[in-house]
Amino acid sequence: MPDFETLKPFLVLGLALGGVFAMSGVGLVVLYRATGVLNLAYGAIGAMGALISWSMIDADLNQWLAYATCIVFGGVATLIYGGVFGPPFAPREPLVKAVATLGFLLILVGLMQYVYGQDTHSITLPTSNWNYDLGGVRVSWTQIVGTVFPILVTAGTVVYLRVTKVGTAMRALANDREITAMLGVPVRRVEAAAWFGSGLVCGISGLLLSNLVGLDIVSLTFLVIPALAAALIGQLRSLWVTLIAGFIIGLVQSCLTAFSELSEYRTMTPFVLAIVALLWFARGREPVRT
Amino acid sequence: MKRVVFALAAVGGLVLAGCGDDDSASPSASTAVGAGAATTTASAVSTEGGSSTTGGGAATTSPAAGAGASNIQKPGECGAGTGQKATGEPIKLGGIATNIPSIDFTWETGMAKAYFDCVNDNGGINGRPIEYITETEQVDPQQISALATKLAEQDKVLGFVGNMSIIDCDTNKDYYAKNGFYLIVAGVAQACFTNPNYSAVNMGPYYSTLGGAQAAVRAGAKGKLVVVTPNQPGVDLINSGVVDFAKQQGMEGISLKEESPINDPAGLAQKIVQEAGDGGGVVLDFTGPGVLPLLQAIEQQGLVDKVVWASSTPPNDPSVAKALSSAWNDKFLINAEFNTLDSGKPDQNHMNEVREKYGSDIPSSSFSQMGYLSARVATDALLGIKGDITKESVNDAFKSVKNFTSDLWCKPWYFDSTVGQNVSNNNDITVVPRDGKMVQKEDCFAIAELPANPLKDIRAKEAALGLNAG
Repeated sequence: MPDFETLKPFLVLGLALGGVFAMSGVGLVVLYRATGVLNLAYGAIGAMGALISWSMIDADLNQWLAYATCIVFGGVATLIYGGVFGPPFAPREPLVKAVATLGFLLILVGLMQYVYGQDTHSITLPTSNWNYDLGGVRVSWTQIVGTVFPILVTAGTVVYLRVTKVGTAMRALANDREITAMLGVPVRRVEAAAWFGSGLVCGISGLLLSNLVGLDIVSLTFLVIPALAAALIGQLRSLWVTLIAGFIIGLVQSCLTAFSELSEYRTMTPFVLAIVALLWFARGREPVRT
Repeated sequence: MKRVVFALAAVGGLVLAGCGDDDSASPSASTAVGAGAATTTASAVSTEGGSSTTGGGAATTSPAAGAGASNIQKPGECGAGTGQKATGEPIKLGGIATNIPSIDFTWETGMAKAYFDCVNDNGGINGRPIEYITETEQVDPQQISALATKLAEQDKVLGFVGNMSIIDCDTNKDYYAKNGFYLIVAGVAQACFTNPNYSAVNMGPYYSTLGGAQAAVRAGAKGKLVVVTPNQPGVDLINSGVVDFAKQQGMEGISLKEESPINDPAGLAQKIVQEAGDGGGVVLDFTGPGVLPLLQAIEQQGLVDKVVWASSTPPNDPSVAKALSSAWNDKFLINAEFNTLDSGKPDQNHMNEVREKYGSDIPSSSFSQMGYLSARVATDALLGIKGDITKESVNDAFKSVKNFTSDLWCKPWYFDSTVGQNVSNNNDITVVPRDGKMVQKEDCFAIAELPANPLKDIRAKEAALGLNAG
């Protein structure tokens, strides 16, 4: 059984990783509530943005411009997908909409494999080189940003949804799309805002994860899974629960690394927590009769 | 209600996604590898407990120093070097490579194809071009069995060259033996080094991680040696070499398996360092793209100097050196089964030239070196055939290769189809990243003989038969 000293670095790592899972989960929930789409291509969009950023840095362009491009790419790519495929899929079941984003994911992964191949790529944010010692654990500013920024994003999103007209419209869309449309709310524009905002968060997540996890196409693409698990624990509705769930997934997964017997199974953390949460939510409900 | 159903479907998808990894580490495949290992161990132990040149083993020579130059390729030439395009009836050869996330061995078959294309532009094999048919597999025994059968019986290839697969040697060894195929491969599983129908141009992860461990001990690692390998079939056997070597050195050996791609490199870095303890040694066994996030996480957490870091061959890759900062200068000891990619020696220059012209999309790496060497050896063997080129004559030619020289190897290479313990490449160098390049750190040294490996027997046989001499 590892002692607290042993666990300390894993707690720091878990907070940073969990924070980015949480932020991604919040992005997924906001989009789902506004449009009914669970964007499974979230990780792939972030990966593509990070790779574009790498290309720009590799071409000796300004690194801050490259980072900004990664974030903007997330917003624009998501917005384009939403603009083109959102309307025709709008009347379909959520499952159909989610599967459609899988197609987008496959296109992006194929494109990344074609353009960037299997060569090694990496981005090191300046914040990753700014370190200091916290109780014997080295903490980088990227980890601090990864921990604090998601909380600010969530708080900002909650405020935005409450006090702005577009936010109010998004909440109305989440409650009843048809009535909201009948009340004269410009549904397409509101949805576009949700797609773009969610995409920006996706770009930020991709940039942070490319530093915290590495700039690997497959790894980043499938990091949508813990974010999705966090969103499911938040019942695709609560931003705060999603935020907390993301942190818990990151912390549990990271701390399990220190346990030799469980370390091999730590990647199951999102699945296990999501299943436990769903069973908990389903308690007391009548079973579905067929 | 819809939301609950949807959520359950999504979780179902997640669970299915999680099941994917398990397939690649099927118990049956692992068992097969283990069985092969048991045979090897028994045979080696029956002869004598191993003594070796191990950790303190003195380095001998630079790669190919003293080797004859008879096989060194001239610039601008491939094979016969006529400069004429081959136009006759194609000679079909096959190759199979693994391609799964974070493990792409198609670089190897891709480079073999590039060399064969160059041969075809230079007269081919007595005017006949080589048609190299390649297949990719995803660590599925049924799939790879079907691919070998398809290549042999449907495409009617005369021989197999450059196979590089996690499970091909274990799965198809009986099929190849029954059908008289002798394969020049890049070995991964231990079966590639214990069956008489295969000879590998490399030494594979078992011996390469062992070489990494030797370098780590020479660099001062003490206390514990940790070996970390992707969780795939045969991993226990790969790691056993380092663990056994640690015991031989009076150290503790620790074997760790990690899912690949690594999804929390920072956590893994912390765990490895904690396991190894201050001043311990760590040997990594990941591909270049696979290991890079881990190395960067190690650096970001200030762990570079906590232990001695070493690796098997794959990160001997210029793009890895380029991506690492100067914090890693001379501090990542990579056991290199071949010379550095910018050694400036004739064969290496030739390979770079061929890759540039015929396979510029193939990353320059140790995998491409394996593909180049497989194709080089096969081409020379084919050019030496007197009479008809048939399946029998092709495979006879392959298995008759002796003392093939190249400056990519430390010593000349040979195909051994008699003993069944084919580790022709058993001397390596150590390279390190330095200011964005891979540079040679240690000259050629002998991979450690251990009671559980057959190197002692192999070297005795080589000395007796004049093999691996130069």
